[in-house]
Amino acid sequence: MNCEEFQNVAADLARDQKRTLMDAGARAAAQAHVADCQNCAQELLDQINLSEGFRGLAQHMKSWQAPAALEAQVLASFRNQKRMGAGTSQPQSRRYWAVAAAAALLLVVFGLWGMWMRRSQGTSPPQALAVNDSKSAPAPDAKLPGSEQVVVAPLPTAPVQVVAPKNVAPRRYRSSPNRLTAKLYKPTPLVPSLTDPPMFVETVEIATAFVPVGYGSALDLQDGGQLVRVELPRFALARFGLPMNMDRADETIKADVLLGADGLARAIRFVK
Amino acid sequence: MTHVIAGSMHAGLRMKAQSDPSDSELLQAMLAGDEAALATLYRRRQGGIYRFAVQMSGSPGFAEDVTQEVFMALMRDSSSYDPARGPLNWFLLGMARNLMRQRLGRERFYTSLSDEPGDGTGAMIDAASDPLTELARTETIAEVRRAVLSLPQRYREVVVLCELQELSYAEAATVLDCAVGTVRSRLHRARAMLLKKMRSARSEDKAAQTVKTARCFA
Repeated sequence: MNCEEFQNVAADLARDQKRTLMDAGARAAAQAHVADCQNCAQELLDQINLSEGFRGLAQHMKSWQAPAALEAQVLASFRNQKRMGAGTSQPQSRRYWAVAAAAALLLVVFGLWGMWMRRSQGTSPPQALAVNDSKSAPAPDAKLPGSEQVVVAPLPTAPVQVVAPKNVAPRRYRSSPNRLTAKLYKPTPLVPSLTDPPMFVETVEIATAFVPVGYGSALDLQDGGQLVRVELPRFALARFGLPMNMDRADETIKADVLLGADGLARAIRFVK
Repeated sequence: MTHVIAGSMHAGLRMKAQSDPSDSELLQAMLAGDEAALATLYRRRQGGIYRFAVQMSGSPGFAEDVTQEVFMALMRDSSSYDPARGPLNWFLLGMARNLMRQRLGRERFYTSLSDEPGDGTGAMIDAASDPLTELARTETIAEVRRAVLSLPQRYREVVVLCELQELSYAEAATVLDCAVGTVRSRLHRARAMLLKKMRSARSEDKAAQTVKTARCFA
């Protein structure tokens, strides 16, 4: 046995033989090495002193007991538990998991209920959007509300000005009206990127400029208003001086009507 | 005649079982609502748990809490005890160890026992023996206790179980729920750390004495 091997067994050698896994051969080899090596003999002596210290400490604490009052507390708790019948009920760990599962179930139920409420609220005004809420509705043509130019804006006499709206976010037409409404409430980029072909192809909506209706001032729109999507007979185009294909006169055309706070129409634009 | 002898032997065994029931029998009786069984079990096992907790934490107050919590947990849920894995005492020590790991992780207080009131170290000095020898022994015990308390927890628990509670490697491995080799290697490492600490403390003491002497001569 060399010194390194002795280091591995020195603690076992110093401890009580009954409580170690050291066999008799290894013990004899270690003792023979100690007889030849002074450093390992000192190491063994230190280990034996440490074991003596442990034995002295264990002996010193052997009579230590918990205070007598503690026994009374434990027995009182036992009586209380027996009186409450907790001994026959579920163990606490099971109760804990049951409570945790119930809490998780409640969270899921409330989450689903909240989502359902949001959707149902979103579908109640399917196509009416508040103009004064910049987040909730795309701004109409910036020239209209509160702008003098809008009031005096000339009627489009030229052929229909078919342009993508400048500041109106493109609307997505989906199969589900709920999804449409939810999408409209999201802040979308005001100017669609023309370099994004799929988005442009799928979502762009061609509209005329807003045409003033009646004699109301567009300044009223500062107090709020609504943009309402309607369907009109196609010959309404002619009433606003726009060209119309007579072969399709019996069809309808979509239009956005801008209503003031008093409910009167202020402007209209036609959408394709 | 044979029947009489057999009957008296059976009665004797029954009497022995009644006078000295095993931990498992006491546990079953306790779960059936027998308060006396709990009292007997508590008196039998509280000392080991309390000492283990004191040796691990260094705080008698903390050890009282742990002892109480162990028996409360046993009352609430003893279904996790498997007699095939070992005696109830090891199970209780394992519970105490887990409770302490949770609480020591939160509170992190290690109090030297020599600072506690009612430590009893002084009471160890026997008037009949040599006072100097006893004083040295008492100092050694206090030094060992301080060194044990300064160990990291995973090394401290193997020292407490194997050296102070005098469990074998296999028994300690059951309590700690680890392999026997792990217990052995941790114990060896812990002993090496303790020796290093105690050697350095002694060398510091010697150095302090040398300085004092030099000042004296100066």
